[in-house]
Order: sequence, then structure tokens, then C-alpha cells
Amino acid sequence: MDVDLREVDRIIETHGRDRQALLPILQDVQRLFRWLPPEALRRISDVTEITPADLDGVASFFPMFRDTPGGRHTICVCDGTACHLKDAERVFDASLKALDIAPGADTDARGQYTVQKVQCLGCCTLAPAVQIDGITYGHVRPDTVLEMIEDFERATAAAADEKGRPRPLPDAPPEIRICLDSCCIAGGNGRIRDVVDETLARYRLPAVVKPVSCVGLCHLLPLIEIAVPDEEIYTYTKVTTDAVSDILLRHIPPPGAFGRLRAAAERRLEKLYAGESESPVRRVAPREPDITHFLNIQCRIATEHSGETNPADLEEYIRLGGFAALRRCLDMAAAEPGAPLNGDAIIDVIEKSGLRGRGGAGFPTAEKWRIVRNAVNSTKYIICNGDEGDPGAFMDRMLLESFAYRVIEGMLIAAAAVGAEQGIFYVRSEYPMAVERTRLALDQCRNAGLLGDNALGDGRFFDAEVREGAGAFVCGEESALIVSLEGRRPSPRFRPPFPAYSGLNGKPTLVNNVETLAMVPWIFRNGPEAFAALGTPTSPGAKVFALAGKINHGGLIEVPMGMTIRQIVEEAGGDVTEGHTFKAVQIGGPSGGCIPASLADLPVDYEALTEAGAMMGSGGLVVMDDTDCIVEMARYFLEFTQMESCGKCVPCRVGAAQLLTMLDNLCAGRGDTVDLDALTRLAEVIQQQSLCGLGKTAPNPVLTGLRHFRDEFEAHIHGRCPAKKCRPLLTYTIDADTCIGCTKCAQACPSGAITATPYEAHLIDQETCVQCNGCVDVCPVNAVKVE
Amino acid sequence: MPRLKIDGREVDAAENATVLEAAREAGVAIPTLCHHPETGALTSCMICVVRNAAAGKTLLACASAAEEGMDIVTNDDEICALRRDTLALLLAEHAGDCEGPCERACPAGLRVPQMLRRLQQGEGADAATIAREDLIFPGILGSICTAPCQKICRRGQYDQALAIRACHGGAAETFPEKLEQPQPASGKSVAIIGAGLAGLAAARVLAQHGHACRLYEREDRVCPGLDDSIPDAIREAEFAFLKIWNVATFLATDVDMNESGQSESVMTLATCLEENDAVILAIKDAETPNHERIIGAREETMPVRAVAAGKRAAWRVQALFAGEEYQEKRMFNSRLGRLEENDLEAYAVERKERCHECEGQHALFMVSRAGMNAAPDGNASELSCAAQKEAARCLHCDCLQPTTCKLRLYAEEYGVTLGGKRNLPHRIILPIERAGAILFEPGKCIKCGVCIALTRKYGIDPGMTIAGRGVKSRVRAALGATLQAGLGSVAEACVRACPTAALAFENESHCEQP
Ligand SMILES: Cc1cc2nc3c(=O)[nH]c(=O)nc-3n(C[C@H](O)[C@H](O)[C@H](O)COP(=O)(O)O)c2cc1C
Ligand code: SF4
Ligand code: SF4
Ligand code: SF4
Ligand code: SF4
Ligand code: SF4
Ligand code: FES
Ligand code: FES
Ligand code: FES
Repeated sequence: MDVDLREVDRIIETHGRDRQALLPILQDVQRLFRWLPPEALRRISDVTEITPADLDGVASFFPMFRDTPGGRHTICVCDGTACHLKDAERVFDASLKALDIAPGADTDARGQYTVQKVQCLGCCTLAPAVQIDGITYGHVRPDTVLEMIEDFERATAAAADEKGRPRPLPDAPPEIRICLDSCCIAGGNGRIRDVVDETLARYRLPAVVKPVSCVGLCHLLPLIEIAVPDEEIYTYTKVTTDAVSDILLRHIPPPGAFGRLRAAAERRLEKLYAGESESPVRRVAPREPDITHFLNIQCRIATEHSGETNPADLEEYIRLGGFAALRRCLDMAAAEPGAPLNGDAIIDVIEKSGLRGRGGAGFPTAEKWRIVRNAVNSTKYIICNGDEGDPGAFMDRMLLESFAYRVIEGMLIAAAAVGAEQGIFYVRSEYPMAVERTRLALDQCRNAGLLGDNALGDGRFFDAEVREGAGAFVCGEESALIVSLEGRRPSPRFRPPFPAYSGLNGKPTLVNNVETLAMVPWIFRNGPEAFAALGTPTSPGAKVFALAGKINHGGLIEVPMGMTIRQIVEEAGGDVTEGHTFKAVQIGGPSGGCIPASLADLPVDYEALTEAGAMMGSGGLVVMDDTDCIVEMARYFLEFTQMESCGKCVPCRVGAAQLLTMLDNLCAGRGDTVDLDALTRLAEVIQQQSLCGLGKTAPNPVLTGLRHFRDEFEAHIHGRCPAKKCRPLLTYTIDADTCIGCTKCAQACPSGAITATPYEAHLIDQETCVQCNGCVDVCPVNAVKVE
Repeated sequence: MPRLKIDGREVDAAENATVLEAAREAGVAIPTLCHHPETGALTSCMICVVRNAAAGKTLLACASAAEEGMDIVTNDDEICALRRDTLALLLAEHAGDCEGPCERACPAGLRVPQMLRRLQQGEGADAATIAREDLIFPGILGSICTAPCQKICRRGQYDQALAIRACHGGAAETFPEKLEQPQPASGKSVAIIGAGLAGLAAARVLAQHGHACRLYEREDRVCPGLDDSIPDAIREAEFAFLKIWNVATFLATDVDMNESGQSESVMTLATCLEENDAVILAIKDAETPNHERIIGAREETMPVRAVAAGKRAAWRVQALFAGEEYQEKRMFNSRLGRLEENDLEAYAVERKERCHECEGQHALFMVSRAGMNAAPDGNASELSCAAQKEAARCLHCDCLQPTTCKLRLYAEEYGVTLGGKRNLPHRIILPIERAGAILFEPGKCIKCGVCIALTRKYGIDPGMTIAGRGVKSRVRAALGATLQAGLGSVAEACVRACPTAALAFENESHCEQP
């Protein structure tokens, strides 16, 4: 392909020629050419201030930037925690096979599709998830991959036809609420919304479709709610496209001739949702009575008004009390026009609330604000950290998609407190909808005068912009995030100095997590005492968790701190699947650790978790049952951190790779080469000697595993996997008494380890068996034994 | 001026000084790899870790400000263990040999690659000198050594091993030694019992140092066990020192190993001890009595081992005379080991071309002793041509800076051991790059970032950069530029700043043994 350098020039014109433009320029070049052609890179270094060294260092750092041309479409197979637990690896292999991609390559011969693994698409409850360009598919199985690709091709063809067709939006009062966050669209809400639109148009129903913020009921998707004024709200879950017209007709009387349809609809619905109690309870999902519980034990602060508000309706946000907190703060901090605000008053309130950073480490927010406030410098920045690289977490994505105004308000309050004039939302580019909605919300706020010249009253300026990350876990680390914004290779810096003293461009910079900022308005509207009253003395307030793994209801939950892990698993999560036992939770993602069921009464609290060797982290919470292997889980997280290590400092760069090799050996039947003492020592060296939090916390999953499940590690050394998860450690045998000689297993075995002997007991040749589990899957009488 | 304690001493640090600067000012050494005075802290190697006992925390000396009240401990067990384990990690990804596999395999420690480079450059006499220094009897060994060096020669993995034995044999023969006068007499004398290769090697080394040697041999000729196939000329040339340096040789003299008894008719060990300052027992299968002045040098069946034993015994005697503790000189060695098939090509590609003479185009050319002698009248230029071609096949597996590389020195100092279940290799083999007289060996780069920081500081366009991430990251010239362009005008400064031999001058060092 010829590289049109004029296009490159045009991109450079849009983003400017200074160093900070580096990432945006590269992102656009990548989007345009689907790779970074060397000519383009040279052109950029020729005409901008960006040095070749920075260009090369950055372009080669992020996997999203390719050095060979990519396919027209990109199939991203999620290998985040939840998807990994649900066999994403096999979906990935199946995709490669379906497209006939040569071994070692990632793009098919026609240049149509590139297949790659990505970390968490933010739809963990639909695991395993796959995203093709913008479209997400959930619950993909190896055998449905082809179907998925066909569907994608149909959808893109259809989209080309429909381009620009406006969606009719009748303006009558009944609301059909539907969440259109990325995860919910992937869960089927997108298709349901189309059918709703069609149905409304067909029967000319007087109702509006209202896109609303997410309730986090990911496991019940597709989900719609019908809110007829002065009536109870009805929630319909797991809605099928066929049921849509019946649901709508039941609640919204169609005009004229369509009237009689209604009664019939009612009858059919009753059949469909048989067993429903007489009087529909508010928000009851037919057949899923414990959803009330899922919602009731929650405590909405960051996610206040979830499921009710339109994420793109600023007026509604203000009507429901939005920006009142900001006004209160501005009053509290009032100063002479022209003089700086008295931010201390604001910080005092935050201090009283006891709010701690939700980005992982739990640093007291007031303390950080005060440092930035006291820094003597005319320029200060605020960065809202929405990089969210934890492969099992997606709450920041949801908060930005559903509650962007709230985060903006939090940022404005912080700005008033510390005296900053410029804010940056650093959002990962894998979250296109979060990027788009945050941009939109900022535009709306700017138009409404909430940002800009008078944002902080009396001519005090504040404005903010969105900057897209390029997908690297380490970019969430504040110093790496800042260097990345400056257009350098995102390797963490040695701290001190902390960003609060010297951050972006050497200026004092406040870095706060999305959720931290989202908590702030509530504190001012309800008082710091109310906030402090929730949770535990050292960890007040509530925390949003992404709940996934082997539980009945996964999703996003916001619960008061101090709730026990057991409560979260059993009540919010609806307990582990029938027939299995709750073994452990992995909390805090790759930086966190596992906590065994025996410690499940531990309250969720920064200190308590740290003491147990885990960490609050960002809030990923994966539940494991007796079929999950702790060693394998540790291996999985280490594989992640190892891949994400920036490579700057030795302990993390090489140490993580060594640790991973040891765990690989344990899981692959080479356990006798592993010495647990050497492994522990290595983990300690990495912990102590690494430069940044990534390396320092990387061994946590291993160390907690060793602490609570040492016997499981020892079993692997001796070649056994107690959870029967690590296939290379398993032996497959056929019980001669049970076997009926149906030959199914022999047909299924890919390696020919079973010879078909009709009507006789079959035998597995241990030398040839590749432990694929195929025979177990097909045996009609469960004669295959796994040890 | 902040006042702090460093290793128990009160130190007044300069304003804004780092802990490292304060320590150096106070004369306390803290190891560093990624520190360079011109670049600011790069914090990538983590070797400068020290502990602030006042806060109970470890910190990086190169990046942390010296603060009032700190109590810095630079060298306790915990810190040393951290450094050792961190060095071990650096070495786990280190793709290089401090010494070539061949020289490690040669029991007498011939600096094979150095010798071969001399041969290759047509400096045969220098090659012979190296061979003589290390092997004592390079000609004899050139005939009868079982050549363990050739079994492990890396070139052997590529196509065919270097003919190392023929090279040193041929060099010794073609460039005979002009025996100079030994060092002035030391006034000490040594009895050497057994005139096999071990005893003779010891005698040669000691005589050269001016010690009077008395050599006792039971049989009626020196080195009775020596293979008859060795041409007399070689034998005579290499044992000529006995006569020229007047080494007292007592043939057909049995020495009674009885330590205490004395006798008129037979020589006894006791007499030897009495008459000499030291005794070397260089016979087969004899227990060496536990005596300060009796030193064993087992006459081994493998000739080169015998020579090595004799050399070692001579050094021990030297140490004894100097009143020092004898220490085996075995430096830490980073080892590459056997290479995978595909790594081999990457490894060999540029190394082959280090032979400028013929740009690596040699056909495989086996040197045999006969081949080397084929030239009429031992015409040295003809001879060295054959040897030169053979020597040019060497892959130069040894390191360019084995004595100045900080990584090796620290590995030695902190007692790093590699291998076993503790250390798994994580190395990537990439071809060598060249910029004029400078070589860049990516495998030996520890990604300290110094060269990158220097090229950035001096505005080199394109400069050096680090590409990729994690274990796969590597240092290279930016945007596919050549090394020459990447290093630009600060190339030499970068070589000098590089803590290892990743960046090195091709022609520097090579010579002296550590
Ligand atoms: C490897 C690594 C990844 C991180 N990722 C995130 C992230 O995705 N989002 C985030 O807010 N903080 C992340 N952090 C923490 C930030 O460095 C920083 O502490 C945080 O943004 C501060 O915000 P808070 O005080 O509101 O918690 C990460 C830290 C490390 C070491
Ligand atoms: S700990 Fe890992 S991610 Fe952090 S600086 Fe070191 S190598 Fe980079
Ligand atoms: S660079 Fe240093 S450690 Fe590496 S091979 Fe050379 S001397 Fe040895
Ligand atoms: S042939 Fe023998 S003596 Fe010669 S270098 Fe090899 S091992 Fe050493
Ligand atoms: S190639 Fe040269 S340096 Fe390498 S092992 Fe062989 S002789 Fe020694
Ligand atoms: S080549 Fe550069 S980065 Fe590598 S070790 Fe030498 S100075 Fe450091
Ligand atoms: S969507 Fe796959 S793990 Fe989150
Ligand atoms: S349902 Fe919306 S985030 Fe999962
Ligand atoms: S980290 Fe201090 S010298 Fe390398």
C-alpha cells in the first residue's frame, strides 16, 4: 500500500507539532493505515518536535501500534480474567482457524481480518467476549466463531445501507429505559433497542426510548425497564427480540385500531413469564426474585440514580441535584474576585469524610489535595485517571459512560480546592464509548458555562479535555501516565518527587481515579459525616466492584466498605453455581491476591485486605470455585503483568519472566524443576526491588496463593492438580466397567490415543493422549475418569 | 547541609546531594550500573540499593536525596543479598560469555580466541607467545592433547570446530622460542619430584622466576610417559630450558616418600624438605602429605591436565615464597552455553565478518599439523596463511571487556552463582552491530539507558532508543537507523559510559589475562 504523506501531514496539522501530540498523531496514523508505516514515522519526526527516539520508543511500546499492516477489521478476543476463566484461549485458536490464518501470523491472507488478544473488553459477565471493530459479541464458543463472523459481515453490510437514517423519537411521556453502555450493547441491548424502535414505529406507540445509566445487572441482559408515569417501574430481563412487542403493548396502550392487540399480548406474556407473582413488584425480574437483593444490598454513591438517568442529559443531571455540590463548595471557599479560592475549606470536608483514593493504593484524598494546593506554582493540573488496565475491572468505564457529569463535577470541586486551571481525562482508547461520552459531556458543560472562563466563579477559569491512552496497564501508574501525556515512552519515573509536587510538565499535578472523583459530589450534598458513617473507620464510603467468575450473578456493584466478602459473594453474587463450592476470591486483579473461603468473613477494607496479602486494587473481584486452580490463576496474572512490564527496571523485567516460567512449569507438568523456596525468594526480590507499583505488586497473586494454598503448589510439584484444571497434569483413563463401547471417544480423540473397539471397553494410550478433554465431553456414560 | 549517617559515620552532605554522592564524598563505595554523572538518575539497574535504618526502608542511593537524620547502611547481609539476586536477574538475560567456551574448557586455560586473533592478523610469533605462556608446552600438547576445547567450540555447532590444537601446535613449531635469561636468582630452591609433564611445567615456571629447581625422576629420561609419536624436534625445543637454564635434573633417582627418615643411599622426602624451600610432588597416585611446604601436582593421564597441575603448583610455591595465601584465580563467568539452531545464525552472522581479511568468505579450511608444515623450509608466511584462514573462522565468543565490565566485577564481588532451579535463562540473541571501530552486542546490553540518555542529551538525531517492552525490550538506534547514526558524535563517550561490554571498541583490551 502506498503511504500518502499528505494524509500524515493533515493528521499532524490537527494535533500540532509539539511533543504532547505524539500519541494522538500515532493513533490517527494507525487508524488510517492500520499500521505505522516507516515513511509516516519518518515524516512525523521530520516535521514535528518529536524525536525519532521518542517515536520509536513509543510506537514499539504499545501493542495497538503495528509494524506490519493489519487487516481491514480487527477481531479482539478478550483474554481478561473472566474470559480467561471461560476458555477464551480456545475461542482465540478457533478464530485463527476459522480465518485460515497461518501459524505465527495474525492477519488472514486477504488482509480482511486481524485477530488479536486484548485485555478485558469491559463486558466480563458476557465472557468469553469478542469485539469485531465496534461490535461486541458475548458468550462466544469455539464452535460459534464462524457464526459470529458471518453475523458481523451481515451487520456491516446492513449498516452501510442504513447510514444516516434518523431514529424516530416520539415525545410522549412513558419511558422505555434501556442502558446503552458498551457492555449492555454487547449483552444484546443494542439489538433490543432496534426492535423497540421498530415496534414503537409499527404500532405508533406514544413512548420514548431513554438511554439510561447502567444498573450493573450484567448477568440479566438484555434488560429493559418500562416507566409509565405514576406507575410502578417494570424490569424485564433476558428479553428476547420476540418478546419486545408484547412487553411494550402490555404497558403502553396503542392508539386506535391496534387496541385489541393489547389483551393478546398480555396473555402471551403471562405464559412467557409463568410463575410471576400477582402484583408485580417494583424492579422485579420475573423468575429472578433475588435480583431485588442484588440491588438492595447496594449503596449508590458513585452510581447514584443508576438505571434512571440519561447519561447524555445534562439538564436532567442538574435537575437531580447535579452541580449543587460544586456551588456549595464555591460558596464555602468564596474569596474576593480575583483572589484565589479558599480551597482549605473544601479540603477540610473531604478530610472529614475520610475519602481514600479508589485507584488502588487508598491514599487519603484530602492529603493529596492539600499537597497540590500548598504547592506554590501558578500552573497546576488535574488528571482523572481512567486508564483502568486491570484485566478484570470495568467500573471506571461504566462510570464515565453513565455518569460523566458526576466525574466532571468532582473534578471541578477538586480544581476549586487545589487551584488548578486545566484538567485531563486520561481514558484508554479501548473504551471508545467512554471517550466519546466524556467528550460529549465536556462539550455540553462548556456550552452551559460550567467549564471555561467562569467555571469556578468570578472569572476563575477551568477547562478539561480527554486524552486517549493507547492500552498499557503501566500507563495507569501515575508517573508513567504523565510521561505518556508528555509524549514519551511510558516508563514510570522514580518517585519522589510525587506528581503532587512535580507532575505534568514539571508542574504540581493532582492525579485521581475516576471513582474517587465520582464520590466527591455526594459527600458535599449529603455531608462528610454521612459518608464517614458508611463503611469502616479507616475505609469509609462505598466501593464499586466488578464482580465476575463462578457466581450466579456477575456485574457491577457498589457496596458499602466493610461488607464481608461472603456477603458480596452470596448476596450480591447469588452464590457460586449449584453443585460447586466457593473456594476463594481473587481481589484487586493482577496486583491483588486471593483470599480463601475460610477468610471470607473479612471485611472489604484497605487495611484488612492488605493484611491478608491481597489489595483493594481497582476493584476487580473474581470468584473461584473448586474447579479453579490457584496455581493456574497466579500463572495467568503473572503472564499479564509480565507482558505489561515496561521493561525499565531489572527486577520486574526479568524477575517476572522468571517467575512466570516457574509457574508455567508447575502448570505444564514440569513441576519437579521448581523449588518453592527459590520461587518465594524471587517473588520477594521483585517486590522489594521493583521501581513502580506494577513490579512491586506483581508477585502478590503468587505470594497469597502460597500463603493460603501452599499444598496446591506442592501438589503441582509432584505432578498433580487438585482442581483438575491443569490438563498436562491429568491422566485420562476409561473405566472398563462403565464403558459401553460406543466408540464416540475414539472418534473425538484428535491424537488417535483411543482405538475404536465397538462394543468392547475402550483404552486410552497414555503416551499418545494430549489431555484435550475431548473424550470426556463426548462420553455418554461418563466412563472417562480424570485424575 | 543535611547531616546523616553512612555506615555509622556522620556525614555532612552537600545541599541537594543524593545519597550516592554523599557516600562517595565520604569515601564509601556503592555499586552502580545505570548511574552516569551526566544523565541524572535512570533507576533501571537497582544495584545501588541501600537501607535507611532510620526509616527501616530500602532506597536507591543514586536517586534519593540525602536527608537530615538518615542512617544509611550500604553493605549488610540483606542489602548484599538483594544486590546479588538482582545481579543474577541481569545475568539471566545476559547473552554473552566473559571468556570463550574454548578457553574455559582448556584445563590449562589457553586464551584461545586471543591467540587465534593474533594468528588471524598474521602475528604468529605473538600467538606462539600466548600459547607458551598458557600451555608451557604448546608444541607437545599440539600433538597429544585430547582437545576438550574443540569439543565445545561454538563454531563446531555452526559447521566444524576450530582446529585449536593444530593452531597452537603449529604456531609453536613455526615460531620457535628464543629462550631468554630467566629472572635473577631468587635464592630459593624447590625440589620437584617427578619429571612428567606436571613436574616439567612446574620446573619451567619456577625456573623462569629465578628459583633454583631440583628435578628428580625415577626413570632414566625426562617425561618417560610421553608419546613416542611426538617429533623429537618438538620435544627437544620445549625441554631445552632444562639445559639452558641449568635445571638440576636427577634421573634414575627414586625418592623415598618417607617424611622423617634420612638415608645415605636413597633420596628421601625429608632430605628434599631440608635442602629446599619447597617440595613439589608431581607423581601419579601419591597422597600429598599435609605439610606447609609440600605441594602436590598430580601427574594426570590427560597431558593438558598434568601441565595445568604443574602450573598451579608453581603458583602455589610462588605464593608460599611471597607469604601470601594462594587463591585459585577463577573469575565469575557469564555463560551462553549451547545455542538453539535459530539463535546460532543470529549469533554467528556478524562475528564471522570480524575477519576483515577475507570478509568471512572462507571455505571451511581444516588445518592439520601436516598442512601447517607443508610449506617448504618452514616458510613462515605460507604457514601462517593456512593458520590465518583457520583462525579467521573463530567466532570470537570471548568478551571485549572482561576486565573492566562492571557487571562481571560485581557478579564476582557479590558471589553470584547461576544455574540450577534458581536461575532460568531469558535471553535473546541478536546479531552484533558495528559502527566503525565500535561493536554493539545487544545480548550484553543491560538496558541501563545510559547511551540513550547521552544521545538524547547531546541532541543526536536519530539517537538511541529502547524499543518494545518487558523482557522483549531492546536498545537500538531509533527508527531503523544504523548504529553509527544512532550514536552519532557521542559514540566514544557512550562506549566509555556503557557499564558492560555491550558497547566496546573492537581493538581494545583482548590481551592481558585478568
Ligand atoms: C501498574 C499500575 C496501574 C495502575 N492503574 C491505575 C488505573 O488504571 N486507574 C487508576 O485510577 N489508578 C491506577 N493506578 C494508581 C495510580 O498510580 C494512582 O495512584 C491513582 O490514579 C491515584 O488516584 P487515587 O488517589 O484517586 O486513587 C495504577 C498504579 C499502578 C502501579
Ligand atoms: S516495575 Fe516493571 S513496570 Fe514498573 S518500572 Fe519497573 S519494569 Fe517498568
Ligand atoms: S559484558 Fe561483562 S558480564 Fe557480559 S560477557 Fe562481557 S565481561 Fe562478561
Ligand atoms: S588442545 Fe588442549 S591444550 Fe590446546 S587449547 Fe585445547 S584443551 Fe587446551
Ligand atoms: S569459535 Fe573461537 S572463541 Fe568460540 S569457542 Fe570456538 S575457538 Fe573459542
Ligand atoms: S548499550 Fe547502552 S543501554 Fe546497553 S548497557 Fe550499554 S550503555 Fe547501557
Ligand atoms: S470482558 Fe473479557 S475479561 Fe472483561
Ligand atoms: S450491564 Fe452495564 S456495565 Fe454491565
Ligand atoms: S538504580 Fe541506582 S545506579 Fe542503577
